[in-house]
Amino acid sequence: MVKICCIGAGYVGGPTMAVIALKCPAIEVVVVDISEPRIAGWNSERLPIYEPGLDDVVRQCRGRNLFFSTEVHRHVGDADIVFVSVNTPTKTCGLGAGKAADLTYWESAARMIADVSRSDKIVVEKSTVPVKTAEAIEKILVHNSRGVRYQILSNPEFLAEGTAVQDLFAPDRVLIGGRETPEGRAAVARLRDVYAQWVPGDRIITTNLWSAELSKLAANAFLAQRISSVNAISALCEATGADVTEVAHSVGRDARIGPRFLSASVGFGGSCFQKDILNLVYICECYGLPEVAAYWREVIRINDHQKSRFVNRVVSSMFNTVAGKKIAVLGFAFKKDTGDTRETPAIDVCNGLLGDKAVISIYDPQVTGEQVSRDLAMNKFDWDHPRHLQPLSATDLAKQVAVAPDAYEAARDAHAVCILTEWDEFRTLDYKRMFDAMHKPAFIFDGRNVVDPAKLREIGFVVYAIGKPLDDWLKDMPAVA
Amino acid sequence: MVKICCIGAGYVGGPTMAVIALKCPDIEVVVVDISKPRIEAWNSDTLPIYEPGLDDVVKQCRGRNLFFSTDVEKHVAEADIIFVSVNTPTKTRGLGAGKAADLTYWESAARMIADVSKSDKIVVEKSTVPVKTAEAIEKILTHNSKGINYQILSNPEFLAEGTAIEDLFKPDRVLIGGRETPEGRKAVQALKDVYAHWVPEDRILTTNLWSAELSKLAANAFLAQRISSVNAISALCEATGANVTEVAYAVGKDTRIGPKFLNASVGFGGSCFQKDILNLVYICECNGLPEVANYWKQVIKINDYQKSRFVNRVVSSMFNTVAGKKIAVLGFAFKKDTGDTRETPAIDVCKGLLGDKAQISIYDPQVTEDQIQRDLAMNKFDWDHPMHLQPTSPTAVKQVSCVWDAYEATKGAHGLCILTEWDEFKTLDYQKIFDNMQKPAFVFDGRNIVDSEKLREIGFIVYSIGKPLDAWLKDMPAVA
Repeated sequence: MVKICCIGAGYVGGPTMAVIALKCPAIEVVVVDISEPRIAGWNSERLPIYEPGLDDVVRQCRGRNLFFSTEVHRHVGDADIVFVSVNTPTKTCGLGAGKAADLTYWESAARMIADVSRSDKIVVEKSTVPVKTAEAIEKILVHNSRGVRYQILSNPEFLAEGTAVQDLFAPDRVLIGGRETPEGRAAVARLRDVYAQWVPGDRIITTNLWSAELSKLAANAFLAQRISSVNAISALCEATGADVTEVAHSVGRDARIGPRFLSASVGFGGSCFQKDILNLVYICECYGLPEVAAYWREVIRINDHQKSRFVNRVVSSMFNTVAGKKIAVLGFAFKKDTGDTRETPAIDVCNGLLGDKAVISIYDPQVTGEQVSRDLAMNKFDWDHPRHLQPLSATDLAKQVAVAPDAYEAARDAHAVCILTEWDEFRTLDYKRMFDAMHKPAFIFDGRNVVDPAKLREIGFVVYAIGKPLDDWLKDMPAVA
Repeated sequence: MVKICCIGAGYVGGPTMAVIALKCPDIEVVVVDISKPRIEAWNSDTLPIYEPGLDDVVKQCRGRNLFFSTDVEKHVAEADIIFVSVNTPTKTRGLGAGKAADLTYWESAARMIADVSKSDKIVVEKSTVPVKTAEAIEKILTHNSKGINYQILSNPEFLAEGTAIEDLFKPDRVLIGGRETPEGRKAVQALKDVYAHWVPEDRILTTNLWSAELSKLAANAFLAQRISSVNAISALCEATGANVTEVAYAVGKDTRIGPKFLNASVGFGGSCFQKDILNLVYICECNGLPEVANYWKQVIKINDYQKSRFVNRVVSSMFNTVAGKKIAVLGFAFKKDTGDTRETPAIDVCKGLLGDKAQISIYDPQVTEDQIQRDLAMNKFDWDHPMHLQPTSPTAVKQVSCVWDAYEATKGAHGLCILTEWDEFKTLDYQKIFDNMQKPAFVFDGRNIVDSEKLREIGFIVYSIGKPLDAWLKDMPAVA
């Protein structure tokens, strides 16, 4: 019986191993983690991660060929294939701070594997790592090997939050990178055989080790670039009277470009895009490629510019003064249908408005008030470190920020409403009712293009929507930082 | 009978009108131009533009409902719909030089239309123009209108050279932009009815006027950005031992990204990409959007970097000295299956090598020697102006020779640069080439068309864009 052990029971390791166990009944899969509460969560009725379909998959396999345990040493020692799925947070101090990936957890995992191994093993990089990490890991394993042989493979994940199980069942591709030696090729074939039990052969791509490592970063950079590009065009649309939805639709009809990821917005968020691009930028700098680093950095700069420009538009529209004015923020999650707020543009927009002394009332159907408070008190990338290292909530914020139970309460007596997450419920609100309870002039700033500007103007709102021809009111009050 | 007149018998106007005439037998189509030789060529058996399938289309309609004429004023006056398909060259001096589009021809076309019109007309922008050009044209027509109503529409083309007829027969989309007024909508519908003769309705997109103008520039910017992005990744692949073909394949498998336009190369060329992006950059600057301008400028910067870095790799590999050394250049066109050299990366690469005093021997199956010599003598964007305004070739560049086949080009050479992906370069007898070259013999593949392993077995030192480096090259880093 092939034994797989996965170090790290987080968002990547958990679902991936659950699906492998479901699809490969002949393989024993153990997910290990040093966090006892997390492992206890996986073994309970309430899994620590919510993903549609995950409950069902876990229930079918748990206790049969899927196990969750804190006995890390024992299960790593027993395994034939070890997946390393630990986190690689962005460094917040020292060399490469704000860009480079912190490989502390990775290095300690490698040392532990070397310590406990008694038989040859395939070690698979599953988490996102900088290019050439496999080489560093290999050195640690080889120099501590005591006769045991290791093959390092790279097998990055391409899951999107909210569709992880679906992405695992029917992936666009599974990528496996390995050394181009006979032993390396044998290891690649072994891992390929695991996936081949449910993934068609033509979707399993094998490359060299560095290509696989780089592909994960590159794919995320390409996706984020599409968003920044359409956001860059949205600024030009506002300046010229073009409509970004029309332009994006036309561009997307070109089969060489494709229509996905061409929705303009207040900015992209999520735990991957910014982190992976900054990582890519740092790697380019380390390899003496400043021109390439500058190229990818622009994707981040446009994202930051888009958020700044949105804030500037809000403030300038209201006579350059928002001090003491109540502004409603609808939506705090980085995208709809999730409670995830990592790198959400809402943080930057709210911080921008707070900097101008606005009073903010936030409503989001899924994000908790505690999370909002924590996010607004944190520095960049603090979210990527364990909870106990994160700072305590500041009390100062309490005066300027309130969390409302619903959209109407958030908007009551407000001067403006900012829509920052594309929740479906925001499309069908009773805006007439909302208008009646607001100060006049009443503004709507739609950062996700979910409302119909023409209808809202009929009600009496001054409307700003990203990338759309400007309301007359806004034309006369240019947002210049 | 609806009458269409197209001003400008160039690469855009000619094929487009020919296809409209073919698909709409009940519409009379006249293509006019002030260039008599060009019009005569359209009326002859040797058309002035080569595109697969074009001859056949023209022959079926010419004399029936497709006509080519220099009698511009007469046909413009009689037309219901006027397409303006004149060139918009990049300015080479004055405000916006090197970026802004020169609208001289456009403005004079508008004034001529106003002068000769006796009935209401729909005026359609067909050539690529900066955003808001329609507004300027509208002002000229309105202020000279003498009671005639004009509706300005934008209907940009999305043709790729080499597949123009195919693109016209089965477009990804036809884009029509117009004013959002009752009269504007009616004009849009009239033009839509023309295309609906052969294009499915769901592929005919209608937008506001400015969206249509911007969409053409944006689409080309997005395409060029894909190439620059994979080229940027190729530099990192060389530094890390990754393989750009593998990375691009894995990235392209993501259906949100798609696999097209992800081939790394020595750089993109062609008359559209650089010109349209620089135009976009200029428009952003004029509208007070420096951050957006910088963003798109990076696409050009990486393209320039890719060409520079290729040259640096060639020179540094040969002990930082190429003075007096013969270097063969295979391929001069900006892409295969064309004789078009506009903005070809080969120009920049050759100039880079000439700057280091190399002797260059160039072979391209379709590009003429005269064209090559002219290109190497010209400044940027001179090609975009009428031939009589281009500089007469000074005496031929002494360091450059143009030869008739690849084996002659590589005879006695130290290095060989592949700059265009012509199919014939994939099947050359590289052993024969190797035997006749100075040693060590280098191949610099700017298009990833050769099999590096096979060439290394023969004895070459091989550099391919974005591939793990040959041991020789690793020890000689290319640092400018």
